[in-house]
Amino acid sequence: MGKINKITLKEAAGLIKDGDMLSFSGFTIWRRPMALIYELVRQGKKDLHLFEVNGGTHTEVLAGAGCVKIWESCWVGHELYGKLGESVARGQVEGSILVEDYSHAQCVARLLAGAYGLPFFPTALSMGTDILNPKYDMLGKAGLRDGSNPKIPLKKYDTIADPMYDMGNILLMPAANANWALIYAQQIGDEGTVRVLAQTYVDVEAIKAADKVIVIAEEIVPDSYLRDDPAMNIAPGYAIDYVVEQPYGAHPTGSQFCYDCDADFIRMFYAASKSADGYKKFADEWIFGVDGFDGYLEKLGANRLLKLKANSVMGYSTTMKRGTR
Amino acid sequence: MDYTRQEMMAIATGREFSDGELAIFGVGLSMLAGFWAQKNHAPNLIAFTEGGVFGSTPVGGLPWGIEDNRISANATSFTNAIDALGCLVASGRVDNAVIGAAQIDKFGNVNTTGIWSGETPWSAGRYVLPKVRLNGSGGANEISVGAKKYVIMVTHEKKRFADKVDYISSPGYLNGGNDREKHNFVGGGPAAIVTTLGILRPDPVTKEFILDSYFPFSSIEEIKENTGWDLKISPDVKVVPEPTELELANLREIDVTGSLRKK
Repeated sequence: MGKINKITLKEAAGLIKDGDMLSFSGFTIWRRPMALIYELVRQGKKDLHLFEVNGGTHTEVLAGAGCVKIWESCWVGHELYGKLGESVARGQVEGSILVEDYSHAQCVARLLAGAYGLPFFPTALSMGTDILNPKYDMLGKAGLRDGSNPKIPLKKYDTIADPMYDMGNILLMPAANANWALIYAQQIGDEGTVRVLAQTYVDVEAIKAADKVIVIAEEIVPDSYLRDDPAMNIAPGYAIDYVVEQPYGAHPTGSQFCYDCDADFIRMFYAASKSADGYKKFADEWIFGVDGFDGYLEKLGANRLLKLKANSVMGYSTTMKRGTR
Repeated sequence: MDYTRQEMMAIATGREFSDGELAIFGVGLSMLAGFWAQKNHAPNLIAFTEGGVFGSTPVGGLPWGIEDNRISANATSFTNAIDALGCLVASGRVDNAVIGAAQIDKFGNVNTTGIWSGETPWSAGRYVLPKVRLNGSGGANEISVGAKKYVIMVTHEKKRFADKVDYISSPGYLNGGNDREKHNFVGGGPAAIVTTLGILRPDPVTKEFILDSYFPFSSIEEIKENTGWDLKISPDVKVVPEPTELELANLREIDVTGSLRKK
C-alpha cells in the first residue's frame, strides 16, 4: 500500500469546486468533518449540492453561509440541541435552496446503489406519501432533471411491478455518487486504513459511492497498529484520496471515545441560526473572526475542550455537568 | 402526586410497550418512554435505534442523541443504518416503536416536512414555498410503513391536530379503512396517539382516531378544544391512571438529567 496523501485543511477545501456534490460521514450531531466545513465557508464556496442520509450542524453551517444550492436528504436538525434546521428552512422558504425530500431508507438505497455501481436500488418502503407525489419533485420542477448535470438523475424515483415474487409495486431509487465524500474518523493509518470508533452509520457506503474521498482524522497512527484488528476498520487506503490530520476536527459535533458533543456551542449556534443576522454574527465571530481552525480551538480554550474529553473506557465525558445532574 | 405533564406522557407511552418486544426509539422523549418501559415492566424489551445501536440500555444518563456513546457503550452489537431501517424495520420484524409529529390528522397521517397552509405546492408552474419548513421524515417514515404497530407522541394543540395534513411524511391509515392495503405495507399502522392531554386510538373499522382516555389533569372539553377535527369520543372513555410512586421513581432514574421535570 502507498503512503497517504496528507494535505492541509486549506488545501482540502481548495479542491472542492463551486457546484460540487458532497456527502458526509456521521449522523446528525456526531462525527461530522466540521474543521473542513468551516474552511469551505471561509473560502466562500457556492452552489454546493449536498446529498446525505440526514443533516446536522454541518449542513446548517454551510446552508446559513449561502454555500448550498441543493439539499437532498430526509432530516435536518441538531437532535436535543436545536429542533429544526433553521438555515435550510430559511433557504427553502426564501427560494435559495432546492430541498428534495426523501425518507431515511430511500436515502440509504440511493447511497447503496452508488456504492455498488448500480444505476438504482430497489426498496419497498415509503409508498403512499407526498415524498413520492410528483408535485413535490423539486429538482424536476426546477428543470434540473434534463441530464445536463451528471449528478442529478433523470427521475426522482421510478416504480416497477415486482417480477419475482409478485409483491406489488417496488420503488427504484437512483444512485447518489457525490464528487466528494468528506469523512471524519478518529484514526487513519499512515497507509490510509480508516478506523471509526463506535457506530459507523452509512460511512462505508458514502466512501464507496463518492468519486473522491477526503478524511479528516483526529490522529494519524501506524497502519500496522490498525492491521492488528482488521475487523475494526471501515475502509482500506486505496479508497482514500486525501487526509487531513486535525485534532478536535469534529467540534462542536461529537467524536465517540475522543469528545462529547459541545451542547452549549450547538445551542448557541442554533439560536443564532434563526435569523440571517444571527448567523452572520456567529460566522463573523467563530468562522471569519478566528485564524483558521487553530484560532477556533484557541478561542474555545483548553478548559472547555477538557470538559468535553471522553473517558477512554466509556467513550463519553464523565466529568461534564448535564442538566440537573 | 407531584408529576409533570411530560412525565405523564412518557409513562402513558411506555405503558404501550410489552416485555419481549423488539422496538425502535428516537431521541429524547421517545427514548425515555421506551427505556422507562424496559426498567419498569418490560425487562426483555430489545431496543435499537435507526443509527444502528442494538440491544442497549443507556448508561451515564439520557443519551444526547441516538448515536451517543451513552447508548452505544452498553449495546449488545452494532448494526448500521442500512440494517436498522432497511432490514429490521422494512422486513416487518419490529414489534413496536415511537414516532413524533409536527402535524397529524384523524387517520394518523403525520407531517414532519412542511406547512403549506392549504395552498397547492405548485401553481402556475411555480413552486409555492412552504410557510414553515420542518425537519423532514427522518426514519419515522420507515417505522410507519414497517413496524407491526407504533405510538405517535405529539403535543396536543389545535394547529397540530388538522383535519388533513399538508404533506404526508409518514403514512398512518391514509384515507381510512383498509387504505394501507393498496400499498402492501408490511406494518399494521399506528396503535395510539399519546398526547400531552390524553390517548387517542383508531376505530377498528374506519380507522379514524377517537378519544380513548384522558389524563387526570385534562378533560374531554379541553381535548376537543385543542383538536382541529370534530373528535369523536369513545363510549367507554376513561381517565388514564396516574403514575404510581414506583412508576415515577423508575422514570426519574432513567431521566437523571431531569429533562421531563421542567414544568
